[in-house]
Amino acid sequence: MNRAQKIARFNLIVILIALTLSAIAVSVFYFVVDLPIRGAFGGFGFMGITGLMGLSPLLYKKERGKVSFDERDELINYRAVLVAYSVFWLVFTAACMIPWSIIGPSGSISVNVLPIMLFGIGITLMLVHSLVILVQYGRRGKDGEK
Amino acid sequence: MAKSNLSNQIRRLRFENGQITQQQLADKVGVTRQTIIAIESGKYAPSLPLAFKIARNFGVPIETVFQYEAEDS
Repeated sequence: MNRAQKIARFNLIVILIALTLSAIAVSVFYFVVDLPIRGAFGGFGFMGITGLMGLSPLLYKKERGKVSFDERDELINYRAVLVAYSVFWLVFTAACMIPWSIIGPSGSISVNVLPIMLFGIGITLMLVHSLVILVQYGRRGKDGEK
Repeated sequence: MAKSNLSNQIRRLRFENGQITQQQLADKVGVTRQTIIAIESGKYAPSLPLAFKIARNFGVPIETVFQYEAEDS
């Protein structure tokens, strides 16, 4: 497993842990603690765990004097970025159009939605990017010894 | 639509040139061992500069290392 794979795997694990804990927290706050839905959304505070992704380049440092990223890795990364941004546009379009279609043209939403949307987009990008990197390396053989 | 097929003789050439390992070849041409594995197994088509580097490393023309066959489907 190379450095790019390790970083992608680490980021994916961090995002999945954050999403799982957030979902559990929101469910507990809403169904067990009986908080109103707005209060229950406080459970999304667990998404702060995603900040750990910033540690991945430090945890998996480049080895000196050894090639760790070449043209194939560059191509895989390029494709992953392309897919991630394509998914981002789909999510972004849905995030803009669904509230509009539900609330209607004369409705209004809180401006708090904007930073949440931005955060959601960031997480979506990282999630898809990491997933596509792992899928591409996996699909292109197990890189087994010969 | 034309379907491309790139085959190569890297594995054979490695053994004919002092049984160099994939890692040694990778170090010589400046890529990772995973890339050499992917090229050898036909899962990745290298760029032209890399293909030339590999061929020059073995001291043979590029056509000796890589063969291209186009099939019309």
